[in-house]
Amino acid sequence: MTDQEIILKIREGKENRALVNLYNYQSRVITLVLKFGGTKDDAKDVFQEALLILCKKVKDTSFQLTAKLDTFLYGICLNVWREELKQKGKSNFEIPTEYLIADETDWEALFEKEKKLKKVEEMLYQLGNPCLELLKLFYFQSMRVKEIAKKMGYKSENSVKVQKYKCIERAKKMMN
Amino acid sequence: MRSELEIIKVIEQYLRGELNEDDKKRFENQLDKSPELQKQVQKQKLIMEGVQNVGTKENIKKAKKTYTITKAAWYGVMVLVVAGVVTAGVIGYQKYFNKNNASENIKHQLNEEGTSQWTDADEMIAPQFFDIDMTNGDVVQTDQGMIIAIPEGAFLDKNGKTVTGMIELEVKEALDKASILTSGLSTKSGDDLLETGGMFYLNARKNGENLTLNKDNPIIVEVPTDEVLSDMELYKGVRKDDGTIDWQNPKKIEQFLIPVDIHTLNFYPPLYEPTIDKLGYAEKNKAWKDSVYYSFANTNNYSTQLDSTILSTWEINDVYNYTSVSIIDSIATTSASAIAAVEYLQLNPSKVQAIWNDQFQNTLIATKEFEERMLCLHGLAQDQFLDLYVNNLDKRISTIDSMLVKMIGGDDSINVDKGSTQIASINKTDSINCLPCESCDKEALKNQFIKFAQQNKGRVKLDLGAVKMLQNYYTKHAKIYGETAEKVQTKFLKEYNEELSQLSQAKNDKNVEDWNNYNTNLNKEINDNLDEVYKQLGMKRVKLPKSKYSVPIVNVGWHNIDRAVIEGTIARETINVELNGKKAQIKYEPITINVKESNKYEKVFVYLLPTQLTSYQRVTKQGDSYTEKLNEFYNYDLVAVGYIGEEIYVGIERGVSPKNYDISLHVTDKSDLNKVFHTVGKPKHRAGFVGDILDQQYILKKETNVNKMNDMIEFRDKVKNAIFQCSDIKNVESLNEKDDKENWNVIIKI
Repeated sequence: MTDQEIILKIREGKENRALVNLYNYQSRVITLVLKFGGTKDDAKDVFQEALLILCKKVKDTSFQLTAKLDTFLYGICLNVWREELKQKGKSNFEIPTEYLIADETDWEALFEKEKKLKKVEEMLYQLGNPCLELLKLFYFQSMRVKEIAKKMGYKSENSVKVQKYKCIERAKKMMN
Repeated sequence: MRSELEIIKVIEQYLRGELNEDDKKRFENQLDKSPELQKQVQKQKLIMEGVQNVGTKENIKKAKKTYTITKAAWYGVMVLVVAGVVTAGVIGYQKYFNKNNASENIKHQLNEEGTSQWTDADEMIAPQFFDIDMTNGDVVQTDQGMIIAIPEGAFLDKNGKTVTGMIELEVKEALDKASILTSGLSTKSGDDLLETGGMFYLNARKNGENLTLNKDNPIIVEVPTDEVLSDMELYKGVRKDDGTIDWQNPKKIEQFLIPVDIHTLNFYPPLYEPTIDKLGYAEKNKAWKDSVYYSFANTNNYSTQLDSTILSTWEINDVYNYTSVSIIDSIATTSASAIAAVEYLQLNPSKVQAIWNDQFQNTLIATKEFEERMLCLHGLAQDQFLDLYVNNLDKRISTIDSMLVKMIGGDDSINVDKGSTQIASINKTDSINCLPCESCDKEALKNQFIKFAQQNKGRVKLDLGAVKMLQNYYTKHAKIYGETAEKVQTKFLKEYNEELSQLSQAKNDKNVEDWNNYNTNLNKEINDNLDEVYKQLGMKRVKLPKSKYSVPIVNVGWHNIDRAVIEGTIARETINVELNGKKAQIKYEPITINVKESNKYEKVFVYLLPTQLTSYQRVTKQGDSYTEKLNEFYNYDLVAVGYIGEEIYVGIERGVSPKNYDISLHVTDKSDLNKVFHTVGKPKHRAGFVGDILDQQYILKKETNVNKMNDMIEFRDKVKNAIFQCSDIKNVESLNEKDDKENWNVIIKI
């Protein structure tokens, strides 16, 4: 798959194939993170986090790839790794220039946001199914209400909608 | 709908951009005024984004599973399922309860035992349903990466009859931390807590009626795990009245091997493919990679450092060089002396070739488990260890692992010295894989094999329908290297030598031809010049005996006139002769030819075709232009020829005189060069001239081939280190001495 095909797949919401392809870069990332003082497990976590950020960046319609996709991915990985080190109280890691990403990402803000979202994700798991399933189908897979009703065995489209709002209500309450 | 829900609805529409302009304005007005509303919008936005994150992260995990199945190191726990609810266990997580009304997850009234008793886990985990056609069976992959192989005839109905047609398979799984957390599953077995590698529930129904499993034709479930522990057991889950599951009746998990298509496995040394990829050959197919790898077979003192510089000292324009015979010899000598001697500790590639083919299909060699061991066998770098597996195909693979550990432990002769360890560590910086197998550290490798042995993996099991199905499934999903098991033995060196000798031959032939041409032309020109000079002096010319001009001229004290003319003609200097007050002159004046964009061509030749002579003259290049001195009594046509690949470019100038010319070349039809040069020179020139143009292209082509092969040799040198990662260079010096002596012999013989 070429870089462009991977980007297209992610944008079309068919990210599975693209992600499987991107996993080819994991071993390289492991080498990188090992080089900069992490463990293999650190590296795997960094890689997953970086894939998430990559997907989100790519889905942003204003995104334009200025380097090769793998270079971009390695750059994200090292930013994630720098953040990890910072969390561990080691803030002297400088990303080597060849891995710097030339864009205007405010990494600090991005990680701040992801930290917040991580809490939301935990909350969503606590919310559990069928709420999470329903919300995923609607917000993530953009499935139509009619299909959701069929898939999840609801009687009508309306009951899907009401159920969804109830779920959001419960989630909001849990966020207090 | 309640008003709270209405607000949620409007916020959602606002966030998704579904409000019309008026409503949007109204909403934003309100938003400005109400901090509470802002807070709600913010929360809801976070929820939406959080859901996106959850979805993407799940996809990432799923992709990881898919990736690992198709790649080498896939650890799976194979479970033969012969009962309804089953679990497999490895790593411990804290139990976690979260009371939650989620009975939507129970879609059928009765569980697999025909009762309506359900646990928290049943309620919390969303079911996945698969429609399976029992005519052929099927293999399915679940959301969390379990692979379930259902062979034909795996299910029985309540009368004990084999079920055919469509059935519905229900799967619930809690394999990773997150889902175990949310499921409320406990890992209690009696009063003990179990470590768990994940839990799953399977049930099959036809038309809503529970089916039972056929013990003779079991389902195979492969549970993904990052680590395989040897003492893993399969527990049966028993539902308790308090809503929990108690895990009972542990059984050893039978770990057997699933053979896959052997051509989908990777038996190369661990650094081989990464190195090839890095050198820019990632796109090459398996046959090509095989041929390169196998070409290193039996190469204990093979080196690729054939000296190629010798060719560059051989210039085709060097017309006067007639030492061609000795040059060929010196090529041979040089390559002989360049056969360096490095003794490698290695798995012989031919051994690998011997097992990497159809003969070993369906054996333990053709399994992902063996593929893993192969990496480490490359590290051990001794054929005897590989042989151990090949010679014990009937044994459990873990038994062989243990045998190997014993062999390493009990034999002192296996000694990887420090030198090679250093090489390994250098190579390791290039490595993209972090398996311990890549080191040549014997202890680390031994530990790895101890780990293998502990995995307690068994034999290939072919008698089960489900195994066959898994085999097909993996084959379909693995990277197919090549359609057939073509055994490609490279003829690289042979081809290289062939190309080299063809090139030398062609250059030699050309040199001989050039030398003959030169002599013929020179003889004729001397003759013509003598005629001319005698004519100008008004004398009758005394003919020299034929065929004696070129070689003995300097030594023989011929007539002054002849001597001056002969020397002037050879030197192409203006000839002035004075005899008895009479003067004669033949002027030689320079012509300079510039070929436009000459850099564009791989090679450019400029020819002069003197109409008075029978053959062409090739003009030598000086600096950026081509110069020659023209005989004032001759008429010359000029032809410039450039080569790019298969194409020939030609520029023609007729009747040139001693001055500067800028010639541009145009592509020509090389199938009919005679026609192209129809009006150039004399008909007598043509055959030789056109022949030369084609010969030069042939030589150029051969040169390109040889250069490519030289690149290949350089490439092989780089690859070599990847293949022989544990090469032992301690013997190099002594072998070099021996080699030098042999070279002496070669040289003396000449």
